[in-house]
Amino acid sequence: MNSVAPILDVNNLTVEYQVKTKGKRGVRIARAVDGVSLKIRPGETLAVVGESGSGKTSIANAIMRLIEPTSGSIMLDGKELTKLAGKELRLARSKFQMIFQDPFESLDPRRTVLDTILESLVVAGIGIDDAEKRKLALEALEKVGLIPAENVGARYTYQLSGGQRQRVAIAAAMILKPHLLVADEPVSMLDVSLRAGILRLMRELSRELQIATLFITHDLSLAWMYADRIAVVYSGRIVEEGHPADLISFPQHPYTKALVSVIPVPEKNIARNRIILSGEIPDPLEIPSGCRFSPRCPKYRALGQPELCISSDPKLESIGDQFVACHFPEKKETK
Amino acid sequence: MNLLEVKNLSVQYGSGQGGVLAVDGVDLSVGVGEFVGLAGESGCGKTTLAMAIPNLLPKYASITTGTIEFEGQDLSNKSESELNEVRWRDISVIFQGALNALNPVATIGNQIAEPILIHEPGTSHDAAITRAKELLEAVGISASRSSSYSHEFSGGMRQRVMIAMALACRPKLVIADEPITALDVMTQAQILELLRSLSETFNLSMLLISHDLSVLAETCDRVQIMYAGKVAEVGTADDVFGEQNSAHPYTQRLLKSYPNIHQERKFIDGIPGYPPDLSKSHAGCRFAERCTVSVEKCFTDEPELAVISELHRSACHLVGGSK
Repeated sequence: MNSVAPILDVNNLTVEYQVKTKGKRGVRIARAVDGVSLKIRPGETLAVVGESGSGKTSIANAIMRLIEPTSGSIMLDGKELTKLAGKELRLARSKFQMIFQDPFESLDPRRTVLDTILESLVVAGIGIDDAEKRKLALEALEKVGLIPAENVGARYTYQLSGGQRQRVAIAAAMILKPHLLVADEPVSMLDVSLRAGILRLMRELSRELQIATLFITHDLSLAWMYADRIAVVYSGRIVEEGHPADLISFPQHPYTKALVSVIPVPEKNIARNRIILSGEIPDPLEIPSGCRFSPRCPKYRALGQPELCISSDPKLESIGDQFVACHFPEKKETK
Repeated sequence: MNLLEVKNLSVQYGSGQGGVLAVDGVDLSVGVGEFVGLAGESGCGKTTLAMAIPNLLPKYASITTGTIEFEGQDLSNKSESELNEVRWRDISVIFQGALNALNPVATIGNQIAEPILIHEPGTSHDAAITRAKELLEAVGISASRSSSYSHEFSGGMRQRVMIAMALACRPKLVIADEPITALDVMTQAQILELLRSLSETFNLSMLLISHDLSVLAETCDRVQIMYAGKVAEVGTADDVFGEQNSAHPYTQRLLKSYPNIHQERKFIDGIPGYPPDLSKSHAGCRFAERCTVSVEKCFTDEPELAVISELHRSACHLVGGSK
């Protein structure tokens, strides 16, 4: 799989926001994303998992060019996205599509379902006649299970339930046959019984069209189930990356280990040691020196607060098949 | 005697033909010191049922049948001023969307003190603030933050403030409506841990409403699952969770809708279709359309809530044998 060229290749992405503050300093810099690199190959799903304030949505928005990255490179199909502007960017957009968290806000309530899908084709500048567009749009609706497509297409988006709306959003994204799909919490607003249907649909379509998927979520167990790889982000950095099964069964970064330990499980009396971290993700205006997780790190305390953790910022380095940014990663017992 | 005993409660939104029976003949009980979970998907009636207890329903809703006994007194026919004696002092509510429920222009301390001043007349402002500070410490916030404003707090901290406020008048029952839904996993774990320890310190009973079964599995003594305005299943957490025990196909399917990292890695199942439209009338079991094991009877006869074991009840014609 590694021999296939990645569709998305992000290198050293940094996103900073200027924050106006009271007092003499005026403007301060909040670094939301701090040197993130990631690759996604055709048909592959990378889940970026993090808490609110971790920078996961900023990563997605920067890749979608909804916000300007401060530095770094974003290559899509070998082309540098950060250099595109104006019409070039608009036409390129059909190749990278996004599904948003809230289908109640992301769809225009004054449009019919069919118009919503057609709009997608118009904006992308697909030069075919109206009858052809309509045929494509109806096919797209059928494909996402909104049948009979003629009937559903004539309804307004506000008349649909959350699950149906998310299907419309998927149809509008997929009709352009994108190479990259960015899905930002695509099921977190939906009832649990409906999530499987939406995720199955996303998976089928992305496999069929060999789409690279960037799946943004706070839900580690969902990422574990859905993704091919998981990157855990903390305070704007990837702290651990690996295959879902490995990462969940053997987390090597203390933050991942704690996150895994508190995943709620729909079972009673599961024997487990919860590691409940105190405090919260650091303020992006005041990122701690050295390892940014050290102020909350149970291992840092257990090891007697080693100097290294506050003097040196750990790099993401490979340990076996996983990548970990920690000076003292958990070691696998060798047999 | 149970602290709370709701019997045959029905709540209707609107009236006449356009009316929707959101809660339809539901029982619910909470014992002293008990943690009871109320679960189900959007529109199942869980919030309506909970809000009917201290009668915080919107004006267009009305209780059409049933009784709500709290310490032996029926709350369902009490006047607004009588209910105000009960609210906060006996029963308090942590509302859904609490993150935005705080007043942005009042200090945290004053907001926690407010219910004390209103419901315990004669308390001095200083005494109320002192108690507010103690409550802040109890929920893990330094008393020195009592003069801060809510916008200076993160989501998790604001939820702690909401909890402190709910405890202000030393209630016996706290109704928490999706108290951790908008929070991160780590913060959720922090808040659940806090609720558990507070319930011991303050000898609280708790009605915890959540769409998330996995959260209830880890927190509650007993759990009641609702579907389309009815109780589908109720029992101890051990009765309801775990596919071996659960006696209702809806609960079983719901449990399979969550990824379980302690089991084999596989795609979640979900449930086909959508819940029924409650403005229309129903024959038979309300889950029958979406149920994979339904038989003819399920579409014609409405199942009763049948006894399975001491505390375990299930409304399914195929009780127990539906795997």
